Amino acid sequence: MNSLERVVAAVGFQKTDRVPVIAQVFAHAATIQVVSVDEYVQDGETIARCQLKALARYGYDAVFSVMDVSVEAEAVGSVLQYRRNQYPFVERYAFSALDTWTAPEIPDPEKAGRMPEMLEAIRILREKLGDEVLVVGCIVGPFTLTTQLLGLETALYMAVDDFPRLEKIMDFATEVVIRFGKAQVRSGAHLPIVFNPSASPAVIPPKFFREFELPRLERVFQALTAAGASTNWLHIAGPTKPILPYYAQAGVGIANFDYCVDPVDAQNQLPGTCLGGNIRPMAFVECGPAEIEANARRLLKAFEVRRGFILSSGCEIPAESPPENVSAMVNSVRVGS
Amino acid sequence: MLALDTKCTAEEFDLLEIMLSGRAVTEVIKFLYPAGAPAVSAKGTVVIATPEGDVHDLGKSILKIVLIGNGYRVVDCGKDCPLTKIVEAAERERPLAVGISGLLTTIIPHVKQIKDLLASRDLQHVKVLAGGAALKQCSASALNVDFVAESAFDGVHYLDAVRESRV
Repeated sequence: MNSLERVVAAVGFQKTDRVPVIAQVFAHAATIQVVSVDEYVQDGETIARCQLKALARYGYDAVFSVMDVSVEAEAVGSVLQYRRNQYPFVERYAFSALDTWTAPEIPDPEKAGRMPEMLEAIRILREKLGDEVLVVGCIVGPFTLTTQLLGLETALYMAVDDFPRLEKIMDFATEVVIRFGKAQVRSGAHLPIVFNPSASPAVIPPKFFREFELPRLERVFQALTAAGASTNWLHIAGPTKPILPYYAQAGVGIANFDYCVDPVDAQNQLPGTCLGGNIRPMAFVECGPAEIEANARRLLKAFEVRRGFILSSGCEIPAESPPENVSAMVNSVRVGS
Repeated sequence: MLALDTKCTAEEFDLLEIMLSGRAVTEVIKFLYPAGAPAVSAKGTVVIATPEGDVHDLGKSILKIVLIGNGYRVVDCGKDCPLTKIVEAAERERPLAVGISGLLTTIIPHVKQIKDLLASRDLQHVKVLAGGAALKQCSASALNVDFVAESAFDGVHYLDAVRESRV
């Protein structure tokens, strides 16, 4: 069974030769190759090279073309600031609450901002890995893009002060990420992971998620499925227990769950959806391999009967994590197989 | 604010309501004190900041709202803030505490220094509390702070307890 087959089997709750393990290694792939994070997120070839080296080193089951959560916003017109060895952040938002808003053109993924670099990373990764290892692209969720275009506080106040406008911007954001996601699938991604940090219950109430974000996520996942994505992977960090039950309705095939969500609760909330998680990300920085392995074993035990599980961290593994901790998580599935 | 304190548990958290409350509190303070908020507060002063290397300051803004709503005076050093600026503010304001908020794990080495920098200026009695997505994953001893808050309300409960123990 190769990595891709293993992940696909886990998504379908079928028997696997071992539990799939996917380390959320993004900037960490740059760090271990002594590449500055700001260079990494701007160059598709560098992303592919670092991801392939990290894959060779750790031997997990997926690679990522993830840059950061501002790729789409930059393509639309938000201005980013790049600092040495850091993820970029929005310095000036594309939209303002004060201006009259008309929907701009949907960015062309082959031309706009860093989108072409992301597509290049995907092309290289798929060319090198074929159908051996899961090649994961990345788009952000509609509300996350909305907050990257307006600013989080402006977007939240707009939800109260001018909701019709917020909905129009969310609809625009939905079209942007659909076009980008479809381009990623065409470029060779088996699926784009949908990062949606701003949709976490730490930011928006579950009712807002259910009524306004969920239908847009459904549209995104339907479009990705129609474009040929292997399955749909939703990644929302933080205390997601109240919104997990809605994931199935949105068409989610793999649901990430963070360290603050109890694995039993996650299983109960999503009985038919493959779950990925949930070792505490900071544990990779402040603990040693023995503790990582103990955490991994606890999770493997919790999902032993259920199947439908991918061992992972709750969110991104911090760039500065010692490599032996990543290895400890990856190796734990082999010890138990 | 008291109602939100009870309501905002891990499963019922509503950032939007907190922000709207904060906006209302800000307007009321502007109305009551058109020349600016008074420089003293019955409950004490808290210096807050998001340290250098992190520009994500929503958590800090929420802490500010909740502190002001609970009667504390807040000195906001802003985001991406050098440690020297935080310590200088503490030296000038003689606060009850310094509140640090951060989203990124990369600021942790900075956070670990704050307590010692305060002590070097005879401010070892100033409590240091930390919160935010990255920091709240760590223990207080790992961050070299007095308290790690799960939420802004949690931080205020800690400060209230500190005040009571000193009265």
